[in-house]
Amino acid sequence: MSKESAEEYMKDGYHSLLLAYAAGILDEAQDMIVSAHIGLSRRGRDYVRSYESLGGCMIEDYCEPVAMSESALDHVLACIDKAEEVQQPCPPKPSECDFFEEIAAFMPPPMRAQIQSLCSGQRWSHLMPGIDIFDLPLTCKQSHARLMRVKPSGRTPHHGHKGVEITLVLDGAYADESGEYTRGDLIVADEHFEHKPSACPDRGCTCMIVTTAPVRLTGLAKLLNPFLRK
Amino acid sequence: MLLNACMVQKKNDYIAMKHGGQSDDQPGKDLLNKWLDEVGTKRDRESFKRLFNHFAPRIKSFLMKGGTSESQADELAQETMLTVWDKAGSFNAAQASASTWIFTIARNKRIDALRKIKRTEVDYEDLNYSIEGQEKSPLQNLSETEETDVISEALKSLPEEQADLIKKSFFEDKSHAEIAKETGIPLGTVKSRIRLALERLRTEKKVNAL
Repeated sequence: MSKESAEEYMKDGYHSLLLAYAAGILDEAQDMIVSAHIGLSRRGRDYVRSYESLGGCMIEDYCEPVAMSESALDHVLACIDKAEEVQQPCPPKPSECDFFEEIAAFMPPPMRAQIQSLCSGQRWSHLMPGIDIFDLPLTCKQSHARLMRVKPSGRTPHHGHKGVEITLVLDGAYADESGEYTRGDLIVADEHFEHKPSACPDRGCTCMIVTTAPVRLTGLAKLLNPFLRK
Repeated sequence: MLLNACMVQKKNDYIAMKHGGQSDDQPGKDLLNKWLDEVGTKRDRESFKRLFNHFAPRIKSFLMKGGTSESQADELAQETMLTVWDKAGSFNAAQASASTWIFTIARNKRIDALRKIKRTEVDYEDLNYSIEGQEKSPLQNLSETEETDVISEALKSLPEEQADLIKKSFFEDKSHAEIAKETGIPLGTVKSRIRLALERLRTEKKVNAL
């Protein structure tokens, strides 16, 4: 596919994803990667805010009121009374570990707590020379989320996608046929897009990657497929 | 759930406001913002009741359009309003209109109800950290309340096929792939129509911001 049409495809995928985020219809893994993106990108956050205001319009203009149950307001007011009597104690803080500290340094500050609970007792595992991965233990079935660390100038195998592959650059940079991406960039690739990314020569690249179907390797790298399947 | 616990609570002192068949005039955006602000700053219960009467039936309607049962939609609308009371102090009309702010709470309740594990809510506005080297985008020249008005008008002027996809994205708890399957429109077309619609909404916004 030409560079221009690849860019159009990715733009479609990007805005479609952000709209779905604002509407609240993404699964856990996709939701998390978009949260992290808008924590790192002001532009992304502005888009999401516009799309959320579409939601406000939906509630005002397109939702014919449906009468609430008769006692609804009473119940809510009673709950307010009750909540004001009892102050909720703060939940205990899980202890921090080195691995978490390393990951947290890349993430937007508001996501620290969420990442912390996912990182406890975990570490990087080796995928192939120059590439380490960490699978985020989420419960959603449709998508899979992982962190990937590629050493400077490292290359991941040439691959296509059966479903959608969403990549958020957390540290360093990478480049492929469609352009160069740095911290905070969110790249949405679908089945029409094949690429061969390479990490930046001085810092390498650390990314969060969410896939909704197994990545399909092309060429010789096909032999590696079983290791990437999840 | 919290509400079930409340149901066995002693009968409270509040006299229920009349439900259903309300004939009062539609409050405008400014009035809704003002009520929400009063709940946040003065813990004003009268304003809260007005907000409840305006928003709860709309939230319920929104949730039912997404396939939530009537009883669960009623319960989630109540939980949404309870959160509105709790968090009203962080409402800022310069950042979002009352209807957008309340929409995001209702949306998060729906996500939590569908998931087994509670979603971590991330409030980026609440935290004073800066994103390095990034300027506020020119799209943000409008106050959010004005934005809601502009978007609302722009949405009405979209071609039907585009507006439909945007509405479907919000009302029906369906991925764009599912929408494609259901409507027989190829996924790529669904996505490009959505992007065109969003681009058009943003252009209207920019024009109005000048």
